[in-house]
Amino acid sequence: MLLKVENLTVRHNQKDLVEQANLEINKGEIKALIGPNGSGKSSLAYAIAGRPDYKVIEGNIFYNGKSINNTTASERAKLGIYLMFQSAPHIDGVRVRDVVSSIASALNRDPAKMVGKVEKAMGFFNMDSQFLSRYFNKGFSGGEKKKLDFSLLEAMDVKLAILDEPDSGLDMDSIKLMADRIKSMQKKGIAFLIISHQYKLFDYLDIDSVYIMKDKRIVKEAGTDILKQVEEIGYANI
Amino acid sequence: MRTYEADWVTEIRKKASASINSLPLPRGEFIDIMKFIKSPKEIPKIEKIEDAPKEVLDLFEKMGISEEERKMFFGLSVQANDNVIYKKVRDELAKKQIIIEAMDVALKKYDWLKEYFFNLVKYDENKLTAYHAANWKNGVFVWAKGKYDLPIHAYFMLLSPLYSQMEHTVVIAEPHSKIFLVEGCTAPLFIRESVHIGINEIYIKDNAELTLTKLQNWPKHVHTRPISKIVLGNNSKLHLINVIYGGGASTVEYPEIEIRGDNSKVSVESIVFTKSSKVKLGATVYVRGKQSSVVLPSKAIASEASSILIEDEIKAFSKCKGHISCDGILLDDKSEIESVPALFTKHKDAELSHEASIGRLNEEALFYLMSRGLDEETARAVLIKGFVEPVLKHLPFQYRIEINKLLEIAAQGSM
Repeated sequence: MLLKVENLTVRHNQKDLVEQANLEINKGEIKALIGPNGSGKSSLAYAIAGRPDYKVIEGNIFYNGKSINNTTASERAKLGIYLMFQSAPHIDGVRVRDVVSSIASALNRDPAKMVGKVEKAMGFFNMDSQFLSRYFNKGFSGGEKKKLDFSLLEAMDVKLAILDEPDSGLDMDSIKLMADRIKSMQKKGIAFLIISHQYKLFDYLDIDSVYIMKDKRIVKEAGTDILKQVEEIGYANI
Repeated sequence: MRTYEADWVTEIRKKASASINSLPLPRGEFIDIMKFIKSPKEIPKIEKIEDAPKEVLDLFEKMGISEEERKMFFGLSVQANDNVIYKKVRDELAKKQIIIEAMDVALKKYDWLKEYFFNLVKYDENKLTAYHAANWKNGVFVWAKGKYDLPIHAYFMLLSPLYSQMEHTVVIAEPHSKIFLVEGCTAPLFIRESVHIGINEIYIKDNAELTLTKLQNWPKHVHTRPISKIVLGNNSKLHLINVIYGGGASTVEYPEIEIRGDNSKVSVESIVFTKSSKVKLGATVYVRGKQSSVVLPSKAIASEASSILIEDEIKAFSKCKGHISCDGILLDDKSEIESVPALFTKHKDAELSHEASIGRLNEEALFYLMSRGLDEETARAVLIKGFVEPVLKHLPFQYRIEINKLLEIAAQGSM
């Protein structure tokens, strides 16, 4: 078992945003996490990635069998956990190239090589290398931010990728491209937890199972048939 | 030593000395500065580099400062006039019509400096100008009659030893000249005095252009009170970049700039990164000529229970454009930053504006970098470097690297 979330309750700004959540992902699996707006999906993702102001107040996050509750976001990144943000922040005054180099240094990787990998991955999405010289995400469109964050994911040694609405703001061609990239990473054993509201991306992928989150809780784990049901009649009867 | 001084210079010393008691304190003064002036900190004299405190040597090591430079910091360097490199560079500059002299030498050589020395700054403005006028020592005279694009730096260190307490600098940029001066250095200075008062009097004549970078990294026991006055003629340009790192015990700096001619441009950019210090800073720009423009952007970072007050001001007396901006970041809950921009106009066609934003480091960006593997200290350093980048990018490469290193060290220290 790569990731096992057990009875997890997450508090942010004195409010519980996730309650008693359970979830499991094995190596090479793709799991979907769906649910109405505000049901706690992103909060759960933040908690798994170790965001300091999303505190685990009950339960455990096990990664490769060990609890990572008390590790920092940076330590979790080094263990191979990558959260692709729903909306990655911009960083004024720091070029994409320099952000990537800093990450490489932090991970004891060769900066030039990692920049090269990001550049190549961006190339798949038709983002030219001039983006490397721009301030990180500054003035990027929603779609460009996603593509950059996804390219960074490809350049790192990730074992578990949590993608928070990776497809919002992307055109159909880019969604297809992203699905292809996810599949090839999956073949290498990388596991995915994908949060989304539109199911185009899911259609392209082999989803192992679908978690449904409602009102802070994971209420159900189901097969992909549930996606069609939700698309037609919503979350009311689940 | 002062026996060779011209009578008129000695006369200023005497009059200034006699007037100190009757004069007011300068703007923004908040400590018993006259008491501090007379009580130097007891620091053992450095005979050789190895005698320097370990933390200073460690920092020099981290910053990659050369043996020769280290000697200068401790005042162990040979006299400027005997220095071969200095002579060579000086000759090189002279070919380009850039004359550089030690201030005392220049005053002996050029009698006409009477009209420039203690002219913009009056000796009897306040207690500090008077104290300086009575006690000044060292300093540089720069007389630019031609153009030279490269930054001129080392000569300042040689001519105006950094351990000097009261240096006086006069810069004259003659019509159509162009120079780039770098004053100070990014390494921490090693001085005994508790108060430092440097005076700059700068004349930028018609069609002349001056870029002046001031790098200030004062030790924790030093209260620094830099005094600058700058005047500009027609079609002239001033680009002043002031980098204050640490802030010493305290810094009070209110440079005054007067645009006397038409079509001139002034830009004063500041980076202030304080550590347990109190800093008051603010340029006042008087715009008298027509069609001139002024921009005063500053970046303030307060850490370790320090406070920063930024009071930039534009006073417009003719048609012009002016903008003040201030961005501040607090690195802890005990620090404070206050921005008080002031705009004044006596002309209906003056377009003046200001903006300010003060806050913490962006938590979202901090988490983003950490979730990619950076530890918190490194992530903070990346964000801080990005924050000052818009100003820093105007500095020569070498200084940018040095300042970035300092910011990294500071971000690690401020955890």
